[in-house]
Amino acid sequence: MAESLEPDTTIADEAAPEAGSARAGESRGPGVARRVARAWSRFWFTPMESSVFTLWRLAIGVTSLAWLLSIVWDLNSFFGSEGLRPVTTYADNRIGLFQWFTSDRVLWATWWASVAMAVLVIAGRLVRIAAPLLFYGIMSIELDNLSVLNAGDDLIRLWPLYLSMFVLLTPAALVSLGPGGRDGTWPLAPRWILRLAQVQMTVIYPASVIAKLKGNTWWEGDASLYALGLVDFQRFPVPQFLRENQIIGAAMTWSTLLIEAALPLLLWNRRTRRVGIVLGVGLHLGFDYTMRLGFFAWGMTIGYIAFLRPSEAARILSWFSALGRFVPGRSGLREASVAPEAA
Amino acid sequence: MDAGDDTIAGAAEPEVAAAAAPESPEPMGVFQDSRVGRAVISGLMALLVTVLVGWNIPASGVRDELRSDLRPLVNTLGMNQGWEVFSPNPSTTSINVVADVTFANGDRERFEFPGGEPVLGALRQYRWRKWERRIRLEKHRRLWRPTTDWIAREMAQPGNPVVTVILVRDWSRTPAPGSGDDRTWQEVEFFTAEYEAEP
Repeated sequence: MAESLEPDTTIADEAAPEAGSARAGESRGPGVARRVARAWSRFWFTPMESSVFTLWRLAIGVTSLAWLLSIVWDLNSFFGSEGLRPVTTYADNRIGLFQWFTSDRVLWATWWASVAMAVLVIAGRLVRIAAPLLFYGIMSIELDNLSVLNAGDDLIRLWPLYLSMFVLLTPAALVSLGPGGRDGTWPLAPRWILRLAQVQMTVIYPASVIAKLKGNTWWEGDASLYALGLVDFQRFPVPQFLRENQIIGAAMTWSTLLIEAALPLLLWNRRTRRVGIVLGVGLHLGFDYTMRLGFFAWGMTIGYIAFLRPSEAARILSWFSALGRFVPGRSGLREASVAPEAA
Repeated sequence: MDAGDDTIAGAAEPEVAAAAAPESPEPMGVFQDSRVGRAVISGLMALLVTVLVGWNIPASGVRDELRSDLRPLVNTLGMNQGWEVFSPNPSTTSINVVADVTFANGDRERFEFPGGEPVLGALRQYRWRKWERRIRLEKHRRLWRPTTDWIAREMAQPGNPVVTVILVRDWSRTPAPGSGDDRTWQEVEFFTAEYEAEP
């Protein structure tokens, strides 16, 4: 398997001096500051194949598009001048577009523009313009009625923000690749934005677990049964015994806590990373099956992409590339990898 | 510890999947390859990690102070976030807010907020559920009148305007697990708005 040929560096290897960096005077060993600086540089700036970033970008584009389409029926109701919140009060320092432009025409123009930008992000065209505009469009829409948002909507806004930062500081050729890469190969790209996405994912679970531990139903093992008992949240059918059996309920409750607590450790350890991804995505798919949580599972899954290896991301992208070959008139999505912006 | 891959010994040895290794490494961009570029990006990352950690530490006086300091930047960038879902305890109250609407000709009709089938409809309906859960609370009473105004506009019929909208909280408490109690629903009217029928 190709994966076994990937660099497999241990913690001990990381402590070793970098090849080719030996200079006069360094034989005494680098000082603490230098070692910290090196570790920092390795952590944020070690290049990696761009397949992970490309998959991450595509997932953000697709999810943003789905989010925008899901809201179109209610755009006037939630955000329009004759909607549920005709006048919205903005907190200080907000920069939502509709705090200055309240016309419904601007609202709809923003929605259409955001849809177009999401399509461009997916297609890898004009990404350096499209990603920031997509972020600003989504943020403007969300800020105009915070009362209808959940944690998933936070992620729908945060990922395009991070994507925007990256594409603005990275050559277009590296941020415009299609699912086939560049003629089947993946040029090297910086990884710092994927690191930031990993940090974002890492802060989520401790915050969630610590807050839950303040509640008695989590300790007593009833929390999952109460959550499943919320009629207005219920989505797909769940067998009655799962809703009512206290032993199963306790197992679900405590396993949720245990998995959420363990995920940061699992994800940051190369030996357990894959287990962490499977457990984490599985957990959110389980939530998504049982409850109406909007785009929460979608948003979290985007975060898990940042923990993939390049070979894993390339494999997933190759599936999409293969699917593209079944589209009439197309010989595969690989052609999209050479975007005009890159050329 | 490392994430997502095996960190390698330096930028000189980029991580690649052997099956699709590029023929030759290439610069990742003038900016990111420069000392100044790396310093700028390092500063940006340090700032954002500080924001993420500071914003998400457990609720405490320290967090309140940190959030107060970070809020201008967080608000500007739209980085507000909260992950305390279903905590400290999941709600035990199921909610369905409806409205009893009376028309000028005396007809009455019950209004329900949009629902949605579980596959795609659920990706729309969760926002309405969020709205219903919010407006049921006394502390959000400022939202009641805009809600009835909107319902009155939505329900108005040609020549037969809405004259009264009554918001009704239809709710039930989840029976304690193992109690064997049945779920019971209760309806409570919590806000009434009256409108003049235009001649």
